[in-house]
Amino acid sequence: MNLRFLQKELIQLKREARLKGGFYVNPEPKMLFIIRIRGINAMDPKSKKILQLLRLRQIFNGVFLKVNKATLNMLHRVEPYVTYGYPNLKSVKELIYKRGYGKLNKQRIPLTDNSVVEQALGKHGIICVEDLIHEILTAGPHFKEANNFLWPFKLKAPLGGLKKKRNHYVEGGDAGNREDYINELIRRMN
Amino acid sequence: MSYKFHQFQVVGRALPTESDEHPKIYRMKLWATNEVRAKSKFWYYLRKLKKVKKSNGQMLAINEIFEKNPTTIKNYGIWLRYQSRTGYHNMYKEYRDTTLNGSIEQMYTEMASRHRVRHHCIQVIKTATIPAKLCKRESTKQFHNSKIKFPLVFKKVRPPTRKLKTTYKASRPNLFV
Repeated sequence: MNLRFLQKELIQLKREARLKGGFYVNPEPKMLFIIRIRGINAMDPKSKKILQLLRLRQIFNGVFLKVNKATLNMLHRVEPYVTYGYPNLKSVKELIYKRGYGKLNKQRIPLTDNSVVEQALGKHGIICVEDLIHEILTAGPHFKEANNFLWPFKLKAPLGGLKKKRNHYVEGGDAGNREDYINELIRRMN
Repeated sequence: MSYKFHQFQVVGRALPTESDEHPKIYRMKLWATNEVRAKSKFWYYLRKLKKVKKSNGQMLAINEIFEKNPTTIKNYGIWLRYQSRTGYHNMYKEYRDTTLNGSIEQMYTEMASRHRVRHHCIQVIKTATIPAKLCKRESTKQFHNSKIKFPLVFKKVRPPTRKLKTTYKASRPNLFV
């Protein structure tokens, strides 16, 4: 994958900028992975609706999400109920291979064969699970269709536990944006 | 020796607007357990000092700062501002440690134990390495003796991190020093 090339390029650009005494700002990540960490009781109606729209109807459900102003504002509203971050290639691969199910005819079909993917997303040029992973990871032109094809991931409760659901990650808890540390959480929840 | 607190250099600025094409760039050195928390702390302090928030600002760089000489013992002086039950106070504390991160960790644990001040109520104003003759506290000055001698009666056996603490162990600990 050209991921390794992109990483090397990033380091090169950073070094170049530092030489000239400037800064190279990383491009903001284009997609993230959200996990719902609170249950369904005692929720205010607006947040409940937003979580429904994000397809997070159950505790420890996870979905991928494209990053834009609209979705960021939605996330901001439901921050105390979810944790999210930027998954890496390993996380995306593990999630899709182990807990990937597709939506075919409104049914939750396991991704046992590439034909399942081809049937649903063939017309967008995604014919196998690897194509699907690439589309999700790089937030390609058909991210919406690919993401919608994926049923929300039903993850298990994290081994080793959560720190403190009621607080934001920054305060020592779990909610909100934890950027790259979501990968460590996904390892424990997959 | 893994330290809980790491020192980060965080650089950020307000987003450029039509009225201000090149906003001033601010740099801060602060202590946090990881990068995500360091970034949040940066915006917290910057909000208090300048009229800029995370929503109208951008992070330019975040780098971890490592100790230059972790094998030499130094006397660290730490100036801090903390919130007690009745108000805010300034404090100056001295620690003898090999690294700055180690002394900061000592400071946080000491403030928690002696003054019941939790980590989020402490703001580190300044840190410095103090040469031996300028040290003010007796507890650090008592070690400024090149021919120092004191007996270690027994060795307290502790696991390196609290995660590895168990109630039962396979063999008796060896307390001999």
